[in-house]
Amino acid sequence: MTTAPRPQATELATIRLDEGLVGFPGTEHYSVIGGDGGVFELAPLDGDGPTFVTAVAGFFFPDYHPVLDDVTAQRLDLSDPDDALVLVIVTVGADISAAYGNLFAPVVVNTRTGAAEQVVLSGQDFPLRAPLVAAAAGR
Amino acid sequence: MLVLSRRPQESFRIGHDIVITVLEVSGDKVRIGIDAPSHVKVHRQEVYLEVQKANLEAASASPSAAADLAAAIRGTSAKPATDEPADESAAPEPEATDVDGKDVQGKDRPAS
Repeated sequence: MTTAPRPQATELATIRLDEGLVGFPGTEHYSVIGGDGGVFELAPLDGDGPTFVTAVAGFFFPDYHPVLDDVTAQRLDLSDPDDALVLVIVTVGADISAAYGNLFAPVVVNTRTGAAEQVVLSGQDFPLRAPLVAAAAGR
Repeated sequence: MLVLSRRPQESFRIGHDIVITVLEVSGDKVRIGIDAPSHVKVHRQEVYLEVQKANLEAASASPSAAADLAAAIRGTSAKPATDEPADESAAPEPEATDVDGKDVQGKDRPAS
């Protein structure tokens, strides 16, 4: 049986967000670490931004299909959807079971170039806080 | 704060390449047109602040948050992602299902 490739840190070693994450414009480069259970850390390589926990959107939310507008797709040089990886930023509090992912503003990565952007998806009716562990349980 | 008065169809310019035009005034609502380079992202202020607040909350996770979360997910998943990666449906791939290729090219630029 063939094992499907799981995103590894070696595949996505560094991503570049030219504008940073919303509220954190001073950090443009992040190391993508982990992959265990579809969870990655975004660790800052410059600036003074914090580390973020992210989750592979398609892994936890298979019905989640964000649509990029053409200007954003051009900024990311995303002409082929196969090159896109969508990560949702996860808020993890003291209660792990209450962790939630931000489907409203995911981080979209061009896996071919490493270019990435936090895309604000207004008008697509995605929640800012979607329970993550429950989504994993229902997978 | 710089304060300017404009009538409908009048504009003002920010820097060399951003033009803001008052399109229509109707009651307490003003329609604004924004002409800016593609690298300039335009957000409604309240939307930006909401996303910023969510990011700030996410940024306060403990150093072990990712590992703790992964462990919790392994505990809830019928197909543990680390121990039994043999099923293709269980593996998180960088894949196209998250971005609709046709739509990527096909929509006008929405203000968020």
